[in-house]
Amino acid sequence: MNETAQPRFAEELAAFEAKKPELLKLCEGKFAVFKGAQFLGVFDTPMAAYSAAIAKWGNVPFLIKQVLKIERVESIPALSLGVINARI
Amino acid sequence: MPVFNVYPHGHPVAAAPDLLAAVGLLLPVEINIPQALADNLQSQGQTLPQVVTGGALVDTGASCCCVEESLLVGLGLQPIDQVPMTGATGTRVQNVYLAKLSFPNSPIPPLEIRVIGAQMSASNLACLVGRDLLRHCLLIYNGPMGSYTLSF
Repeated sequence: MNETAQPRFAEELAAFEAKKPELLKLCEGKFAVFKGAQFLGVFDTPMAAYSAAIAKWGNVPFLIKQVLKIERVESIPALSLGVINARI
Repeated sequence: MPVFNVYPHGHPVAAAPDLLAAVGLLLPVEINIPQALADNLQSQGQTLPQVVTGGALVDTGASCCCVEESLLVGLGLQPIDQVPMTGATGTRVQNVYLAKLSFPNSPIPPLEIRVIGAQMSASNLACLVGRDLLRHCLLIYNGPMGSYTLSF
């Protein structure tokens, strides 16, 4: 895990943040789909969200974001510390 | 619940416990595009990408699964999200993809899940199996026997 990814989804994230208070009230924990400012809907699983987005737009970039008050931070120490193949 | 007992072997000298300690919990993995994308591509008459195979290391320290990003890009997958990740030097952003993972000859069924795209080609691993997948599994590491048991 050497470099941070190029920022993507600026427009989608702005649309998500604008809609987030409403989504938190109605469907916290579900998965919301955005392409640009377009909102496709919320789905129970990432796979359901993906299937709907692929059917709607095809294989193009779109955002699938879980509706959570605080976004979870992932942790993969082996990669972030670069110790998968350390010689000790 | 199907049970998968693994006894790493293949080294002429190393004892099983030492071999397991050296290589860890390795599984063969196949990485593919989700069925929804395959259906979409086929409906347009496009050729489906070849399944990618490699090694997956079970990593109980990882909160989620990750896959070498160049493999995901090679399959034609698009990122579906970006997530912050903690590291020794702070927080960074990584792309998230939806991919289909299969573990041949294991009890884990093919899964279509969110995976983090990571740069780990130097490790010769294709995938790290994290706790998001392990939450569905029973995993027993038997160090003295040099084996591990996995059931799903």
